[in-house]
Amino acid sequence: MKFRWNLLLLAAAWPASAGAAGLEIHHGAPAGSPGLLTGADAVLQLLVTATDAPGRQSDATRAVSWKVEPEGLLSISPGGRATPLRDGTATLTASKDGAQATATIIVKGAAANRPLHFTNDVVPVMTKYGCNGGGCHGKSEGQNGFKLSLLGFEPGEDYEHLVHESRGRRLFPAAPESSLLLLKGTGEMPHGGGARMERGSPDYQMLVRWMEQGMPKGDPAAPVPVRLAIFPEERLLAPDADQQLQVTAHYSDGSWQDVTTQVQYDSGAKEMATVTPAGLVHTAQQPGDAAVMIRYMELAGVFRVTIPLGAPLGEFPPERNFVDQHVFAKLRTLGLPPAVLSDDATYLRRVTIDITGRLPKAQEAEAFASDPSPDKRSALVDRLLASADYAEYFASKWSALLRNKRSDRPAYGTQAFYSWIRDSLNRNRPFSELAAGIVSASGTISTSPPVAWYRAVQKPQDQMQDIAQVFCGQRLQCAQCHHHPYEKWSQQDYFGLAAFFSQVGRKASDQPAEEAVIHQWGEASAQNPRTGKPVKPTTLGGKPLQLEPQQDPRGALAAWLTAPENPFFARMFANRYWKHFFSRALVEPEDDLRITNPPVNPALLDALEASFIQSGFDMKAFIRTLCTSSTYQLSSFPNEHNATDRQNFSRFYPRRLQAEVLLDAIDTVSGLASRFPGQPVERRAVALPDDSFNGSSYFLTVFGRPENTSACECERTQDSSLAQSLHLLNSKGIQEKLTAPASRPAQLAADPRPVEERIRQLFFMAYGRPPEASETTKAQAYLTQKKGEAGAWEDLVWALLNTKEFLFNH
Amino acid sequence: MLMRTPASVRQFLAAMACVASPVMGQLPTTRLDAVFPPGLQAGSETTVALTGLDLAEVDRLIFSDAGLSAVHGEGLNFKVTASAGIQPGLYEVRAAGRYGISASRLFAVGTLPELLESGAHDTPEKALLLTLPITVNGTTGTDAADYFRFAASKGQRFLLSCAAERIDSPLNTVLTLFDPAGRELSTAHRTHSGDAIIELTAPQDGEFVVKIHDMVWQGGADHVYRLTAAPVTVGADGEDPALPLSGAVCDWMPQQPVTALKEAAPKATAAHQLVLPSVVAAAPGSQDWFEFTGSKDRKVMIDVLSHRLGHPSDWMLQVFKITRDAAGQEKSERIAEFDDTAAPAGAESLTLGSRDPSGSLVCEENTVYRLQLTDRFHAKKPWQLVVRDPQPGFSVVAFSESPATKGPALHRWSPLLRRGGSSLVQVAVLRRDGFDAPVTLRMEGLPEGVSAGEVTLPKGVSTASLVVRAAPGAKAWNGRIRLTGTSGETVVAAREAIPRWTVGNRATERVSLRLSSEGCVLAVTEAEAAPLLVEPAEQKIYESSLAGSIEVPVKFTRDASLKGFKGEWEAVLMGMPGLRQAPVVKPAADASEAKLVLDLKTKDGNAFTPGNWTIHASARGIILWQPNDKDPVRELAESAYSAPIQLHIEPSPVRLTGPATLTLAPGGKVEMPLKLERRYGFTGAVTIELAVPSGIKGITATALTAAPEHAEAKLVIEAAADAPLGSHACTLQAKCEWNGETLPWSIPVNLEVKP
Repeated sequence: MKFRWNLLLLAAAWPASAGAAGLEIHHGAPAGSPGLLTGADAVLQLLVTATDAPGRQSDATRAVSWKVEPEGLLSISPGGRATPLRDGTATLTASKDGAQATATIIVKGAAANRPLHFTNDVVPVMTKYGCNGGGCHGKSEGQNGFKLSLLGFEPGEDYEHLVHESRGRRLFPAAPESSLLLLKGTGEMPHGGGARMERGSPDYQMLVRWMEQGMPKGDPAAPVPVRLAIFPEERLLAPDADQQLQVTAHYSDGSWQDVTTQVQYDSGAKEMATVTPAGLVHTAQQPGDAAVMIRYMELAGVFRVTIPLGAPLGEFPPERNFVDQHVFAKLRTLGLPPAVLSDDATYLRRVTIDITGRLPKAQEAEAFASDPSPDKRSALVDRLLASADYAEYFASKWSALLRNKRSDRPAYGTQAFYSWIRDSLNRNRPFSELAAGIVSASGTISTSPPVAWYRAVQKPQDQMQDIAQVFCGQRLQCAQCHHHPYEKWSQQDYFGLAAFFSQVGRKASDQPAEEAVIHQWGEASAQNPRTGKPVKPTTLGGKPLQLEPQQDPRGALAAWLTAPENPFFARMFANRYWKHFFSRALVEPEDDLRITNPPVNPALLDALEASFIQSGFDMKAFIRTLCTSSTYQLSSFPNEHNATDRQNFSRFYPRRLQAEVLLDAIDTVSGLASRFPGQPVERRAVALPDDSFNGSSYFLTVFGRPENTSACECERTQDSSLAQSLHLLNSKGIQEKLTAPASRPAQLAADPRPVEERIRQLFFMAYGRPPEASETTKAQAYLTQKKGEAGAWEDLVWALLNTKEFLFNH
Repeated sequence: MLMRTPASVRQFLAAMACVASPVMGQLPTTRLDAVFPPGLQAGSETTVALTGLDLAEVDRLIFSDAGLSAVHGEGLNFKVTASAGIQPGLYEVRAAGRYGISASRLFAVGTLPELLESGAHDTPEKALLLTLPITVNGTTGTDAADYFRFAASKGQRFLLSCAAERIDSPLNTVLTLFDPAGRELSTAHRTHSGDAIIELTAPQDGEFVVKIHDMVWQGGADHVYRLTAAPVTVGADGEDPALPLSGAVCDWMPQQPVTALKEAAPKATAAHQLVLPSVVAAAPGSQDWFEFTGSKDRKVMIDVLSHRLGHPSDWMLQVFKITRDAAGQEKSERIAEFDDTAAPAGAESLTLGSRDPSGSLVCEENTVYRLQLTDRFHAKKPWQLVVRDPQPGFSVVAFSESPATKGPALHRWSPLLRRGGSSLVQVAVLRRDGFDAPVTLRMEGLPEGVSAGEVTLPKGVSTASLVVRAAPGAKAWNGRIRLTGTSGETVVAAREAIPRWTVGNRATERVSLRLSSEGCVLAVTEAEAAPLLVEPAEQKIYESSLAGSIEVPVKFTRDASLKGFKGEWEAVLMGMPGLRQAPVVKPAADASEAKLVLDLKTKDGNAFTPGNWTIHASARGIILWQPNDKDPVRELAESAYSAPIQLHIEPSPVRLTGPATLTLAPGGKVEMPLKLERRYGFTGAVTIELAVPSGIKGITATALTAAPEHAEAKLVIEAAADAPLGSHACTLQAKCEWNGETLPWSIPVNLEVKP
């Protein structure tokens, strides 16, 4: 760390709009309501926030002194946890360095233990200690004869297993401390999972009391938690600092309860922040963003912490649009200075590859270099988006995600589907229409090519999962068998969404080996295997729909999916496309938009989503916004502070060219185009319609072209490997491209122009820039040494193809 | 595609045709795969070149309209003239030569000036310049596209219509239009009856470019197209009126006047009201409601016409009966669902079905019937709803099957009979509106020395095969013949189903058939003898009963041109309805006779119907053929068909006879003498019992079992004292077990109970 924390004081890292200096007590109650301590076993996490004169906030919970009036109503631990002593209304005063804050706490039922509820009290404890985790008793077959539902999502079954199964031997109401549950849980008896809780701890005592109370199952109509309130939700913290969290569960009857010590905490980046079971977050030395996932029963949330670097910021590039506003604001917050803007040649090559999947042509590069127009970069983006190359390249991307897989079928189906996607992109059909066209596709592949998607994805549940992942960024697979462990989705949600596809029927098509897709007349529903009851079509977070038998439920699904109010659709697209252009998604992986997987720049993602909706789901406009931002134009060369930045976009993150792009680039530079069976001579690899060409192209396979077998972007691999390097260095295929009579080296060798001109043309072709003087000198010397023969040019081209500058988009 | 001189075109196309045909060949038969150009302007002439197989000595082009005529030129070139008065549209053309007369291809007559593609124009830079309006004739090359360019002014509306499937071309057209800057403006694929149409208003002045290619980059001589580029003067929907739709096979159209509706009825409560009979042209959409008032026991036919009009739709029809309860509350009961119209059983390969729903409804009571129609393809194309009285009738479709049309292949083919030769014509009778009567199929207009037996399709049967055979001395001939179906006074001429193109593998290639506007054609050649003949050894009626078997000895005759077989060959009995798997024998290579056995058991799912039947024996295999010593031996698929073989099938091997009437008194009894005629080698026991009408008490007979080989039996019938007086129509039922199957035989007997 080059800069010390105290330098942060000089940085504009704190929000300027923070409140006046002082202390503030949080107790989890709604604004204006007193805090509550109800029952003898109640625990309330108090949290004191200090705000200094510039408005910066910090956690003072463990630094204040407490005063309770009248005395004896409650006690407060050094960590800020209040427990009841007797009933009454107490006024708390927290004091530090002359500043004070007060709060009112009502203590009720301090003399008696409240009746415990199995679902609301016992199950969360078992979840907290991992008893019902997937590696322990929560796995499908249980553990050593004791089975619990995963993460306690089926408390009714858990009650039966715990209380009644094995003739009730796990619990001993007459002497709860001697029950198997506690003896094993504390490790006093041999337990494969080891000691999970301490004898005498509040949770231990709660379980004892539950058994003493006769192991009540509790009122089935008891309120259920519907929302988690986490305080604070985000905070800027210095390295090596602490922040206590306070978590309140809000229930279906409007009540609330502190659950800070009952929830489960998991840090998403332990190298930056750790968290204790009591919710105390501690930051490490590494700057950046970290998220702490918080789970309680079926609810989940996150606390986000930012640890700034605090480097001198210097001058920022101009803010060209809202992208820059949000990215630069974050960089300022972090004290992380951005790289400088890239030069024209770099930008031209970068944006041409990203939008069209090809290298800029040599004449394009020369013209762009000499263009004095101040808005030439914007004009370039417009030109690229207007070209068919854009549509071909992005059609390939969507074709993979939409599983346009040939298998053993005739070529027509995948070609027609690819062409439909390509045409949609070329016409800049709104993304909402494209998505709706796929979801509700009906007819034959001839006249409605998106039905090809239904041939690749046959089962209703797979159809639902793909649509949820591709267009909503929701991975619902888990919820097929149990409640999603990191989301709010239950099996009811899963099958409610699957029900939209329950009436998808198939019939013979006019194309061989293809099927037509139809709506089967009848009421749509799916069966929840756990309840055995039918579930009507239900959108995520929505209410069951009542549809007529003749209504194709997919129409209703498409309408919900593409509505501007849909919380997933535009956000998913924004995140996916952001990754395409910036190498790293705002939420990683890009199709896993969980509550517990927050974006690295929430304001930016919100703004991108809003912008996309506002534009009418205009894909080209969205790309234009990204590519004309200064953020996109930043150099990939790090400055002295941002070399390790991987998530704040303080510079452009270079990435290896995709398999097809690289093959096309090599074809372009070598002058020898690859041929693909059944495709026209001029067909680029990025415009291949389906996966069937991978088998005959080792190049495409080894560089990770996807096989179109899943809806996940992860199927495309852009890792580097030894096999790739060897292939580029000495494979027969590359050698043939360099040595063929019609190849570029032979052309250059026979070209009568001065050698400098030929070298210049080659550099423009490969890198989109002229050679530097030293490069010209070296190249010329080598060619002279080899007497300008074709072999010498082959060596030169070979050398350029194997440089990182060629292999990467940077 | 690059255009060549006519001579090189001929050679190139012939070579392409050979290369493109991966299927087993058959004895030479004129096959016309392409005529180029595939049309011309009315009142003009052009030189066309033919492509196909076995086009040796083709010297005639036969058009379906006298307004088109052809004069043979050099080789496979003909000068074709279209009269000035001919109506624009599609006509049929056939080629005739040494190897007979070909199946027809479509040939277009247009109204615009025409151009044949020429020179290389496979890149935008080399695009061929067009002056609008114009129709360009071209073919696509494999893995390549054709480019054209034309000038247009800003605001000018123009239509680009590429006819391909509509003119029997396998080209799966993709049509793309580029603006003067090279940007794609529009792409079309299968927008109109399998073809591509673009209608656009020019956004600017300049030269626009059109690109044509096959969706999967196929090409060749048969991938012909006619691109019409013209300012829009036709209908507002952009459809080209000169070329009709090409859709599912449509054998029937309503005759009533059509009422056009402007809007769909979105809800049941706002259903369109129909007065029967009614034909409405409904508004394009995906859902509509209609209702009509039906009177008790009235039968109505309900049809949708859309897919059969060439549209990519899939309508489904739900019928609801609407009644009201005592409180006046409407009750809706779904009583029927009509979906696709199936092809007749046995003719599935001819794609005679459609996605249009069709069905009949007998109104159960005087009330309202509501129809809900849903297009499950959401095609939003024109459609018609026809609700009418039944008009029972039928149409007949014939398909001449090539010997090589086995397994996955489907050939464009028409029969050529060599001396002694035979050919098979599949016939499907499309029954309408409950028409269920027998239909007799026969061929008329056959030349001397050529015969085809009659076949009568019994009630409920819709497919049959006709064999047409030439006598060894039959004279050379070619021309049209008339295949008819007759039922009572109704005589219906068959229309021929013709594949638009030859398909090597139906599993991977698209199949499209159309119905010819002409009758069937036939050719006879004297130049060659059929290599293999098959005949029943004896002309007689072969008979047995259900559960028995019929043995048909057949003999084979070979011509010197038959040099043997490649692998096994087989003989088979064919044409028996209800037979799931035809009996096959595999004779020795030099066998001159074989015995074919038709097993009449119901095992393996067979379902035979007693009665008289006409079947054929067939011999088939891959033959080694060498018509003369100069030619190499060729391997060809060949089939030979016998003269008709008459079968008679009895329901039982036992025929029971006895007196028609017996008289007995109450409290008395009578002996009924019975005779059992055992046939076909049956000798087993027979059980006989009396069945008395329900409600008649007091008349009984103890069941008896006639011992094996016994030819007589006596059944004692008793009447109780309180048996009802009068005449009672009873049934005597006999059962026998034969070859593991139980076979019934019954005769009526009238019992008169008199005091």
